[in-house]
Amino acid sequence: MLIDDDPNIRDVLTEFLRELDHEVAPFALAENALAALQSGMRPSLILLDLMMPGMDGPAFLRAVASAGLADFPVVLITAAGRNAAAGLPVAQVLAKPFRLDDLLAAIEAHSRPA
Amino acid sequence: MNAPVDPRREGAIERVDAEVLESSLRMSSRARRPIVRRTPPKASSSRTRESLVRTPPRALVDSAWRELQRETDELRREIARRLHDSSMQKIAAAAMQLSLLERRHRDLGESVAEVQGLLSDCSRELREICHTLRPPMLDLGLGPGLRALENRLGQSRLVLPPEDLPRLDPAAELGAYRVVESALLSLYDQDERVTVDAVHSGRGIVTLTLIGRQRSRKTKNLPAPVLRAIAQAEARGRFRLVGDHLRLDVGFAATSALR
Repeated sequence: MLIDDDPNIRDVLTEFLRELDHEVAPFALAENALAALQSGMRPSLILLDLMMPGMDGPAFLRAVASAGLADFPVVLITAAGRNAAAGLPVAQVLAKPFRLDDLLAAIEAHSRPA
Repeated sequence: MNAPVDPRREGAIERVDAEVLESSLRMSSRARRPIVRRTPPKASSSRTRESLVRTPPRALVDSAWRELQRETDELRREIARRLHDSSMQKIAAAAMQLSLLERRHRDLGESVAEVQGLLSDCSRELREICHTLRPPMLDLGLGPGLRALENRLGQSRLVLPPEDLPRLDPAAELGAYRVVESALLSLYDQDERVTVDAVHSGRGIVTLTLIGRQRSRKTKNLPAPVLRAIAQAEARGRFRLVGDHLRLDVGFAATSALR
C-alpha cells in the first residue's frame, strides 16, 4: 500500500515497484487507504507520506490503531527530514529524495506476508 | 495627473488609516488647519476624531505591529507550505526518476549520481529554508514540532505528555516553538543541557517549562536571543512576563512558562 498525495512521487514509486513485480495499491488520500483497510485489504507493508492534506500520516496511524486494524509495518516517507517522524510508531523513515535501492532494502527488511 | 477631488471623500476622516492619522496628529496646528477647514464638522467625524485623539499612539503602533506580525507569519507559512508541498516534492520525484533511469541504464551511473547529489543538496537547502520560514512539523502540532526540534538539535531532553499536546492557535504554536528554539540554541552555546517539560493540564492549557543546569537562572539573565524572542512574542500580545516566568496566554488556549 502506497499513500502519497503527490502524483509524481506516487507514479514513480508505483512504476518502479511494479517493474519488480510488487503488487502496489496507490492512494492519494489517507482516508481512502483507511477505508480500504477497513474493507479487508491486508498489505504486507504500508509506504506512508507524513504530511498530506486532510488526514496526514500521524492521523492515519492513529486511525488505524483506534480502528483495531492489524499492526501493519509502516515505512514513512517524508520531505521534512528523518527527524520529522520522532515518536511515531513506524518501522523506518525514508527522507525524500531517497534512492530506490534504499526503498527496496526497507521493503525487504520490514514487509510481512500479506 | 492628480485625480479630481471628491468632496464627499475629502471629508471622510474615518477612512484615513491609523498611520496617516497619527502623523497628522503630530503635525503643527498650522499644518492641520487646512484639513479642518476643508472638512465641515460633522457629528460622526468629530466623534471619530475625538476617539482617535484619546487613543494613545502607542496602542496604535502596537496594533499595527501585531497586524504586521500576523501577516508576516501567514506569508512565511504560505511560502514554506508551497516549498514543501510543491518544489520539494518535484525535486524528490525527479531524483527518484533518475534512480529509476539508473537502474535501467547502468552505464549512466556516474552522471546520474552526480545529478542526484545536486538534487539532494537542493532538497536539503530547501528543507532548511522551510524550517527557517516556519517548521513544517508545526503543521502537525506543537508536540511534533518540538520533537522534530529536539531531534534536530540532538541535545535537549524533551518531556511530553503521552497523549501529546492539544492543538493551539497556529500563531501561539509558532510563538511557543520559537521561544523554545531560541532558548535551546542559546543555552547550548553555553554548553548547558536543557530539559523542556511540556504538560497538558487539561482544558487546553499547556505549560512549557525550560529548565537549564542553573536552575536559579532568572528570566532577566537569560541570553539575548531568548530575550529577543520573548520581546517579539510579547509585542504580539501573546506573552507576558510574570515574575521569573514567561506566560503565554491566548484566550483560553495556552499557558507557557519559561524560568
